[in-house]
Amino acid sequence: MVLEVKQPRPMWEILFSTHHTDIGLLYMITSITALMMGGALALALRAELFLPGLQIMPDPTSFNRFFTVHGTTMLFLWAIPFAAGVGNYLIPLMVRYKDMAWPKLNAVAFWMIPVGAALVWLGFSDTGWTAYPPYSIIRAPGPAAEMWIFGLKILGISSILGSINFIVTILKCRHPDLSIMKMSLFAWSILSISFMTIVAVPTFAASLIMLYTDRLGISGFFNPAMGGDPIAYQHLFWFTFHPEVYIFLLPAVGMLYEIIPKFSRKPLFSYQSGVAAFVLLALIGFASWAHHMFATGMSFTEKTVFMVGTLAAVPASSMHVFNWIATMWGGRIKFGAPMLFGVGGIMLFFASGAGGVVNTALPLDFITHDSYWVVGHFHLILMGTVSLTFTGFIYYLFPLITGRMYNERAAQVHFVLAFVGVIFVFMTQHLLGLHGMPRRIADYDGTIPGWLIMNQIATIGAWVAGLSYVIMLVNLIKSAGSGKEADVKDPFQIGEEYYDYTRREPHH
Amino acid sequence: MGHATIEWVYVGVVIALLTWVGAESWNVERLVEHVPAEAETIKVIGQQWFWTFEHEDGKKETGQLHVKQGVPYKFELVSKDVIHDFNVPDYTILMDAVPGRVNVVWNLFDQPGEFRIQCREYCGFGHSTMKAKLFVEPQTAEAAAEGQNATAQAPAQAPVQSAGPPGMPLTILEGASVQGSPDFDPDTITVKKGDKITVTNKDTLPHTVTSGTGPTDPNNAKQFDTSIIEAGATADIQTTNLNPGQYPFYCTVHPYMTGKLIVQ
Amino acid sequence: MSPRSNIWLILLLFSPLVVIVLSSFDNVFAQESEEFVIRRVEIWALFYRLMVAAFVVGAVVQGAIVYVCWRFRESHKKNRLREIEGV
Repeated sequence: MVLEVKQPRPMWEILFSTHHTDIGLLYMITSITALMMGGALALALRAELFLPGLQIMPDPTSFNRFFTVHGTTMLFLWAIPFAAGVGNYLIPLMVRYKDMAWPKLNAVAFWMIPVGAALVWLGFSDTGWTAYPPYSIIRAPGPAAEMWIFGLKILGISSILGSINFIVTILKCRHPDLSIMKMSLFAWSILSISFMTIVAVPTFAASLIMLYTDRLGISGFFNPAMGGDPIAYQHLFWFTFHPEVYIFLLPAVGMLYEIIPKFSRKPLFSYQSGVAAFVLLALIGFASWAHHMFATGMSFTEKTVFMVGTLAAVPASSMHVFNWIATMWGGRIKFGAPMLFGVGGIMLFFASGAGGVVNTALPLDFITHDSYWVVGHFHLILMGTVSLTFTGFIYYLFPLITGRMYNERAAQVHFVLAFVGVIFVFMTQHLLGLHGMPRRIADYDGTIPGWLIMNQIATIGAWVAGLSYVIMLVNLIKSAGSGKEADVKDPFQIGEEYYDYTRREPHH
Repeated sequence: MGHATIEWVYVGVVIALLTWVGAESWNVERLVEHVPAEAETIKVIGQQWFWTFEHEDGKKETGQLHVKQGVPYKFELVSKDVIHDFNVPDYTILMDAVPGRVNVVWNLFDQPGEFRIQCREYCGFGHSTMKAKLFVEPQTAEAAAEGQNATAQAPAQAPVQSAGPPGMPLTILEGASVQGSPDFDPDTITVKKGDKITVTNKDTLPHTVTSGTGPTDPNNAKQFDTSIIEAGATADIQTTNLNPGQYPFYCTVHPYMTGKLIVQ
Repeated sequence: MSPRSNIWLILLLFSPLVVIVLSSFDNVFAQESEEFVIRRVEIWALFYRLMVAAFVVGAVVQGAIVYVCWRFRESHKKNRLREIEGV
C-alpha cells in the first residue's frame, strides 16, 4: 500500500524524492491542476461565445491567447503528464521491479514540466496551439511566442526522457519470470506510446528551433518572403502530432483494459488482439499525418494516400472496442465510478471515430475542415474518451494513492454531469460546423440561422461539464483527508485482485 | 485462440465498410476536383483581414464578389501575408490561401442570391471579421432585375474617391496596421458641418475610415464609410449630412485603429 | 477451427471488397464530364450516404454497449440468481 497522503511526511521529502510513486503523485497533482486551469480557460471561451460580440474579452487577441493556452495546457500539461503519472505508479508494479530504471532521470523529466508550464502560461501566446507560420513568424507578438516555443521545447524533451525511462523499465527491468506476452495491456500501451514519442517528437523539436530562428529573422525555413515554405512546417508539425493523438489515446485504452475486466469480473476476451491492435496503431499512426492538410492544396494522389493511411487505423481501434464489449458480455458488471467513466468513454470513442472517418473522406473535408465540426470531433476524443477515462482512473487509483475511498455518490453525479455536458457541447459543435461556423473566431454573426442557439447550448453544456469537475475536485480533496478507510485488498468490493503492492523500498 | 473466427469476421466487416467509404470518397473527390477547361478565372487575394477579387476582365472588387449563375469559375487563391482560407460554406468551397503558392478550386454556382465568404484558417486579430459577400447574379431577365436590387442594397456606400479641392486632412500613418502604434493623425478631428475631409493612406496596407466604435457596433457605417482605401490612395468624407456632435470611427480592416470626428 | 478454414473465411469476407472497388472505378470513368458537376450537391450527397452508414453502424455498436450494460449489470435478476447459486 502506498500511503502517500495518509502518512504525513514533510513536503520537501515528496518534492525531492526520486521514488516512482512520489514522482507519480507529483505528475498527477500537476496534471489535475493543469486540467482545472485549462478548463477554466475553456469556460471563459465558451462564455464569450454565449452571445455575439465581445462581452468578457477586451479584444479578439485575448480570445486568441485564451484558446492557444487552453489547447497547449490540455494536451501537454494534462493528457501527457497524467499518463506518465499513472505509468509511474503502475509500470514498476506491473513489471515487478523496485522502481523506474533511472529514478533520477525520472525526477528530471518531471521537473521540466513546471518550467515548461510556467513559460507557456507567463507568455500567453496567441499563435494557436499549432503555431502555423507565417503568422507565428511575422505577426505573432513576442515575447509570448518565443516563450511558447521554449516552453514546448522543454515539454517535448521531458516527454522523450520519460519515454526512454519507460522503455528501459519495461524491456530491461521486467522480472525474469514475466514474459512480455504475459505483461498487462496497460504496460503494452505505455510501451507503444513511448516508442511513438521517441520517433515522433524530435521532428517537432527540430521545427520549433527552425520556427525560432525564423522569428529572429536569421533563417527563412517557413517564411515565404525568404524563400521558405509554410506548408513544410505543417508537414513536420503533423508528423509529430498525428501520432501524438494516439499517444494521448493509447494510455486511455490501456486504462480501459485495466478497468473493464476487473469491474466485469471476467478475464479479458482476447489478450492477443489487444497487443496486436496496440502495435498496429503505433505503426499506422505514422501513416496519416497529412489528412490535417487536405485544404492546403495537396495533389489528388497525396490526398488518396493519406486517406487510405487514415482509414487503415480504424480496424485496429475497432478491435479494442470489440474486445471491451466482448469482455463485458456475460460478466457481472459492477458500475463503480471508474466503470461508469470507462463505458462512457467507449461510447464516445465510437462517435469520435466515426467523425474522424468523415473528416478523412476526401471531399467531406471541404465541409468539416477548420470548422466547429473539427473542434467537436477532437474534443470528443480528447475530452470524451481520453479525459473521461483518465478521470475514471483517478477514481480507480484513489484508494491506492491515499488508502481511503472517495465518495461514490458524488463520483456518480460527476459522471452523469460530465457525460451529459460533453455530449451537449461537442455534438452541438459538430452541427455548428455543418452550419459553416469557422473555429477560432472571437465573435460571430448571431443572425445566421442556428448559430446563436447552438452556441448557447454548447456554452451551457460546457458549464455543466465544468461544474462536474468542481465536484470531483471537492470530492478528491475531502476524501483524501477524511474519506473512509479503503479495503486494501479489494477497495471496490468486486472480488477481483487490486494492485497488490507493499512498499518494500525505502524512499530515496 | 478460440476467439479467432469471430474477430476475423468482425475485422472483415470493418474493413469492408471502410473500403466502401474510401472508394465513394475517392470517386466524388475525383469528380469535384477536375477543373473544366472553359472555367473563368477569378484571382482571390487574402490579406489581413479582407478579401480582394480580380476578374478575368481586370475588374477588381474588395469585400464583395459578383459572379454569374451557371458559369464555371476557377478560383486562384493567393495570400499576401499569412495563411488564410477562402470559404463559401453554402457552396462547400474551401481552400487555403497560402503565401508563396497558388491554390486552385473551382465551382459552378447553381443558386442565385447572396452568400457569405469567410476565412476559415486562423490568421490573427481580425480572423473573425475577415468576411466578404458573394453575389450570384441570376441568368434570366426578370431574375436579373431582382438581383440588381440585391446588389444595389448590399454595399453601404460606394467608395468616394478624392476629387476636387482637398478638404480637412486626415492621415493614416505608416505602420498603423500594427496594433498599438499611432494610427490616425489627428486622432480627434474637428470640422465644421459641411466641410469635406480628405483621408490619405500613407501606410503600406489598405484601410478604411468607418463610423462606429467597432465591428460589433450595430450602427457601424451608418453615418460615413470610405470603404477600402488602398495604400497611397485618398478618399473623401462629406459632412453635409451629419448633425453636429461626436462620431467615433475605426478601420474595418484593423478594428483596433480608432479615432473621433467632432462636427461643430 | 483449422487454420485452412480461416483462410477461406477471410477470402470470402474480402471478396465483396473487390467488387465494390471495381464498381466504383467503373463509375468514375463512366462519368467523365459531359456536364458540370455541382460540387455542393455531390459533396452533400456523399455526406448523407456516409451518415446513413454511420448511424446504422452507430446504432448497432451503441445498442450493443447499452444492452451489455443493462443485461450483465450485477443487479440484473439473472445475475442475482447466479450469485446465490454461487456459479
